[in-house]
Amino acid sequence: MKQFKKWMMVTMGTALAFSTLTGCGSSKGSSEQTATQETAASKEEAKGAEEASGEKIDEYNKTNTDNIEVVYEIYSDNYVQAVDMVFQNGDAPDMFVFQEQMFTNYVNAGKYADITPFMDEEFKATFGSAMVNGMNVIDGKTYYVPTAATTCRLFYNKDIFAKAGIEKAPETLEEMVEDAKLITSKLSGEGIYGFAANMKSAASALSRSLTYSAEKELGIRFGYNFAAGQYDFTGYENVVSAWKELLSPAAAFPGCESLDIDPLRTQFAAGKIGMYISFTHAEPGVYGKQNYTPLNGYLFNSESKNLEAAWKVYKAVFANVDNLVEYYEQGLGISSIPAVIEKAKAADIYVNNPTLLVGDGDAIWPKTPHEKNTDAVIVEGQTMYDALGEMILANKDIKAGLQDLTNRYNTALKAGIDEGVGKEIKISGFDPMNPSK
Amino acid sequence: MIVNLQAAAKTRIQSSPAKRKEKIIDNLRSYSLLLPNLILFIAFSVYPVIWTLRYVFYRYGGYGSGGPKFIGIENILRVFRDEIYWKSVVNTFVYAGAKILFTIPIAFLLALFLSKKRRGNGLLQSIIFVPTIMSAAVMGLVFYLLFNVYNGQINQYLMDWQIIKQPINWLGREHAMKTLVITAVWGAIGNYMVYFIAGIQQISEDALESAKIDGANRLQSVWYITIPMLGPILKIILMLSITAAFQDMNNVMVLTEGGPTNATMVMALYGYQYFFPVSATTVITPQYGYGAAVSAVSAVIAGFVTVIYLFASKKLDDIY
Repeated sequence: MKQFKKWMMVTMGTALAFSTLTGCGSSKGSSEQTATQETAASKEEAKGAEEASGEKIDEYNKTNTDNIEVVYEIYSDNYVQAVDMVFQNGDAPDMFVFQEQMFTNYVNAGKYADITPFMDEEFKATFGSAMVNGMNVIDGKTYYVPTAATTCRLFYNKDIFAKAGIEKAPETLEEMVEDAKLITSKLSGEGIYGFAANMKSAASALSRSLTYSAEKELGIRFGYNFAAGQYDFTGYENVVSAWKELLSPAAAFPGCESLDIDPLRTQFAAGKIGMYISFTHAEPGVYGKQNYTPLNGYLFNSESKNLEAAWKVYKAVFANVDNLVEYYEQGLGISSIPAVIEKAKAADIYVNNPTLLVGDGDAIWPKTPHEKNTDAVIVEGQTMYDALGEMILANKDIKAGLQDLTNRYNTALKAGIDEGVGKEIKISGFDPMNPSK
Repeated sequence: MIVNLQAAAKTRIQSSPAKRKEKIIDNLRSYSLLLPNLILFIAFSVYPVIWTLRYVFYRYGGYGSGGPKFIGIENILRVFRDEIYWKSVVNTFVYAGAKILFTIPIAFLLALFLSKKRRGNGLLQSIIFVPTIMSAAVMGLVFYLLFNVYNGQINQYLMDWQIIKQPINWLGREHAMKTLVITAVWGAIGNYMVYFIAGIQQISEDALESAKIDGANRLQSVWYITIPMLGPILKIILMLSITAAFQDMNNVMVLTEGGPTNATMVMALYGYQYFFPVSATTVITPQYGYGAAVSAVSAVIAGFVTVIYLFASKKLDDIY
């Protein structure tokens, strides 16, 4: 007789959790990827990660001697809404797969348990590097431990580059624009174009590319300047202007305005697109040094009566180094745990594309006020992504548009602080090259 | 006379207890039959509307946001300041107007031709009705494959037939609304065709026969007999099509998500996205209070249009 049932909510593989995360697109990154492998890998990875977790849990249910049975539920869509529902109904599971939005929505409401008391010395030694203040450790409380990471890079088709007579991948945004135009001018007759972005959703396209590409150089994350403690979008002017060229008919794949990420990947796989920017967890490639986003964390329900048992399951299945090694070796994701990386024989995809892995220059950035508390910065009117999209795709004036964004976001920030909901985040001497310090 | 009246009144009073009891039982029976529907109606229609209206006056970001905060009419004022919302209202009028303008005449003509008992008409009716029962999500995907600029079938056919020289970006800012209207008309024709067929079949054969004897040709019969006699049902069809077009958002959500950059945003979808993200990557924080205000203002606009229509369409009730 089992003692109790546990219920865990997880996203379908990693797809949903990843897709809401912001990534970084660097003009300095480069990819030498032939396409067919890419699409297969991105789909296989999501499915594979989900299947692997399911298998491990089934195995745990059969072999554990603590009379624990884990009930594992997978939500392929609307995960955040499902979490809202179970919290409102008082029917929340003991453990959840981490997802940025649902974490931000509920961490301030005290819905997630502090797992620090459960961590023994061995756990701390193995996973200590994954504890980052302001990310998963807030006010001394640890809420989840990420074991994998993703970031964004520029992916390019080296055959197309060779065909267009381009010898090396672009290293600056200007070179990227130049190469994209060259490819389109030389090869559009064959249906091959320089650059593509999934602009059907400006948020999806630009959050994985434009906003991150400006972080290191401008020290601005999602329009927020940590050194000044204010929003300042005006620094994006050159980047937005370059993007306007990138997505112009002279450089871009036709129909980027209505392109979703999957059709984009398919067209890249078909050898029709020279370059695009996306997450490393979803598509293999090569990239430069950028910041990264943590993945594969698990959150614990603070009202659960089964926390100790949940921790046992977590350690045995999800924080088990052998399982994580297997995950990494199968190429299902990029491990961020040193003990795993040391022990594992990296999958071929990572061996062949070493810059897929988190590098020395990659770092966790502090959270902006609107990331830290979604209710603290309620901006009226167009979101920054839609506004940027309109500057890039339509005739919206870039300078005036960026100033308008700056004004509206700062007004919202001030209103949040005045109401006591938000707090000013100002980091004196903030260094974008060392953002986590 | 007075005596007689008093006697009648007495009789009524004397018989009333039994009748009253019977009436009470009858009423109870009626209400008990209504009760299940009433409960469901209150639970799924009345309560959500009241819930939504209440949050018009609150700032509320959902369960995890630390509770609703009363802010008076600030959300309503914000709606009036919100340029994107008013752009979505204009888009809604364009979308609804174009959809109705094409759907109703086409559905009527199809009904006219297919209402006759003729071999194959039943099959044709079924084929035309099929889009009505198809999933919007699936159709969105199919239409994307048909209309996309890089390898869509529509462009390929138009180029093969030498109607166009360059592919048209059907889902781009310039043409996305037209594409949405095409898909909406395609999806709605079958439904309204069925209504029209039902109406046409109610028209007396005698009236048409008389017109024919009087020398009316087919076109004259349609113009002077069929259309006027369809008046009452046409009034209902138009009202349904107006309300449906103003609430329509599935089509938009699946095909364009209101984009590119709000170019096809309609007011129903605009309100919806403050409650639920349209896609996993839509970065809009849930704002139930503002979403409720947008929905309330949208409902007033749609209601206003419907009232104007009802006022203007009184004449359709007058059957010749």
